[in-house]
Amino acid sequence: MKDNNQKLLIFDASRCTACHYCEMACSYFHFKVIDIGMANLRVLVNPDTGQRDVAHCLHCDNAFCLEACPTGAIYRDEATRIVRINPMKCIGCKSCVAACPVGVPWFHAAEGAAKKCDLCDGDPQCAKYCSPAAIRVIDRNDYRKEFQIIGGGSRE
Amino acid sequence: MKRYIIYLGCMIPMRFPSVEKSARLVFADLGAEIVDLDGYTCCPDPVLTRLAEDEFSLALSARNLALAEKLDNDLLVLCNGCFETLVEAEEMLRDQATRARINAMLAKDGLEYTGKVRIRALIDVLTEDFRPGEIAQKLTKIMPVKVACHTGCHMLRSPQHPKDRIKILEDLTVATGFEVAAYGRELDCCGFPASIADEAMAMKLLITPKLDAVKRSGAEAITTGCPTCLYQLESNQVAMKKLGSDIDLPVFHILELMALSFGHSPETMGLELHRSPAKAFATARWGVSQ
Repeated sequence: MKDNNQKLLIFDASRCTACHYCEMACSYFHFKVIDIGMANLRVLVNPDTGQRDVAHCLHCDNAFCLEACPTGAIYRDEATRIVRINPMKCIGCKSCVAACPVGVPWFHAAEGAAKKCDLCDGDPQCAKYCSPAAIRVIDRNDYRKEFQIIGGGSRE
Repeated sequence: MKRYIIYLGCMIPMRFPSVEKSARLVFADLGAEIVDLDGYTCCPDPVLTRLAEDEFSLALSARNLALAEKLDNDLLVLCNGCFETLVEAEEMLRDQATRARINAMLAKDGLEYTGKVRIRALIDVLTEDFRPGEIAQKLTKIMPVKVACHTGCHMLRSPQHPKDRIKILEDLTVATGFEVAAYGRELDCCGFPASIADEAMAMKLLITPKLDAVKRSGAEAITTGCPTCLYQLESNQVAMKKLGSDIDLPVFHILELMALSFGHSPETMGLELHRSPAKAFATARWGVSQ
């Protein structure tokens, strides 16, 4: 069931400077390292055109990662609607890595478990440290309105 | 008489004293008094220090702001990173519980933050407090140089859209007598933070395409209002040259360009501390003043 108060990340490419602070903040929050390869979101930059995008988790209603997980390690926190991974149940099969259309889940080889965005337990660090506010946290209601402006289409 | 408390941050006194000197010359020429903030510390860094230790970071910022409050004027911030750090600290300290907690720490130093100091970025002060005519009056050595502007990420922490923030530096550059080179990558980061995480990626995806675009635009120099971006744009040209690049553009802080256009000699500004050919370029164009 859709929860209109569910918090989501929204990205506006017209504000992004491609500084990669979001990835650095994410990796530090989750793993206490500054390593953009260990972030739960990805800044994608085309060096030829300058075009950029951020691949971030949408905590989908019908989450492909959750559906693909054979062990139930991926679950939805019903209070916040955040889609999370229980590392103790993850067997490292990478089904979620293949299933996500955005490419958010990644495999943490040292831990032997998949990782994905958990919205930093309600205070997403990527948005907090984004100087031009290219990444923001908004609720699902506003997401629909803003996506039409930024994304040029409707996700209804 | 306009009066500002100057916040230099770390990078300017440590790495670019020419920017501090330019600030003192430019504001004196514009008839404004600069007051030093004695005892200030690092702002600190708007991202890494805060990530590592939020409370410590906030206490340092609050201490700097409390020192500024005692002087009772606007705080003029010459560095993008310092500007964002202090503005964010101000936002966080609006929460009364947070403010009380931080003030308990500051009390040991005999200080208190009350929230009355106004934190202002250099480019905002120069465009809001001085009419273009006031700057134009001081231009004694206008050089027809085509300049590419780089505003820098931390200056974008504002209710204004980044594109409008970028225009402020461009307008200031025009007001100082230069032609602005449009190069299409004005919004792109200088690559400083990304270099901390992955130097090769930063050079490939950010710095090289940005500097290539600047070069293609026909710009003869680059200007910025941020000492860290200045450092990054210069030191990466040095690194790129080792990899075969022929880009060798002088990079100036906007205050240095203003000081030069106001007639100050490139010989005495300390431009030799730049890693880009800033001094050679300035001497060739502006010469030695009498």
